[in-house]
Amino acid sequence: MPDPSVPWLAAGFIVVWLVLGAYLVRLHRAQRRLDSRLDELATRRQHSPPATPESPQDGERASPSD
Amino acid sequence: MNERRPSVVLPVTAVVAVTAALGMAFLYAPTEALQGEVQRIFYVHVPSAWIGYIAFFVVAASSVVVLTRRRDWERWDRIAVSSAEVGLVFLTLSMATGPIWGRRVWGVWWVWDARLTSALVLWLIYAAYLVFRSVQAPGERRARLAAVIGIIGAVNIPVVHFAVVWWRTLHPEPTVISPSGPQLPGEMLLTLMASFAALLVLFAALLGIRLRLERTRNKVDSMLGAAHA
Repeated sequence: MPDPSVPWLAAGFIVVWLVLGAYLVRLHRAQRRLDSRLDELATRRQHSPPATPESPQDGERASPSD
Repeated sequence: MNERRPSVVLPVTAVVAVTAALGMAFLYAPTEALQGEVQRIFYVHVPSAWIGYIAFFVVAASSVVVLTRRRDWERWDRIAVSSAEVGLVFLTLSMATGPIWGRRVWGVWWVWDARLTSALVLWLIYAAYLVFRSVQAPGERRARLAAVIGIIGAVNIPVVHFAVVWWRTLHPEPTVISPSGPQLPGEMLLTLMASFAALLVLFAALLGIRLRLERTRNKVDSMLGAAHA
């Protein structure tokens, strides 16, 4: 006669795999999202004109009292 | 080391170790005479709780460093948050498998005894720790306040472990970490230790993945901060 507790054992291990699987998927998606954000920021920084002391923005920052 | 190419050694070792431990739990460990097959949940339920304790101890130790250091606290803050999140996953495994086992053996999913209640409180403290961090702006203030929560939470670990000794509970007393030594047959004890070792490697692998994520997040935050400065 099969052990009637087997479905409970199966349920326990299914829960374990679901929790671990969901967490791994979450980590993978978050890493991918942050990697592409990092690439986007790096590209934007490369394409933006280099900040110089003569630029109006930096000039403003250099003398906040103005 | 290239941040985009993480090492696969630890994750692969974890997969091999967990597979071996599962093999031992199902093929080597004897079937418990009274409870039957469902007792094999023990080989996940107990080590997961232990890994949760270890993870929260790491959170507390890193939090002490965050509170005491003026410089280089960011690194320890990353370790603390990563360990808290992975530890919460392991405690969730323990708390999810417990009721399934309990329903079959005790006839109830949950009882508000000292062990189960204190374990739930531990889970809630570290869930609150993560929620707190997610709603606060990154920086030293968040790290220091979170460190206080991380340390307070760890005080609850011995309460959870000794709850079954200090109070009358439905949950059984410790069968391995007890004053009179392990109370298990040899094969069961060996399987339990193998499962613990496998889950410890899995914890280390997940912590490595989570730390890499946190480092990338810090880089994004600092680049955004520089852009808005």
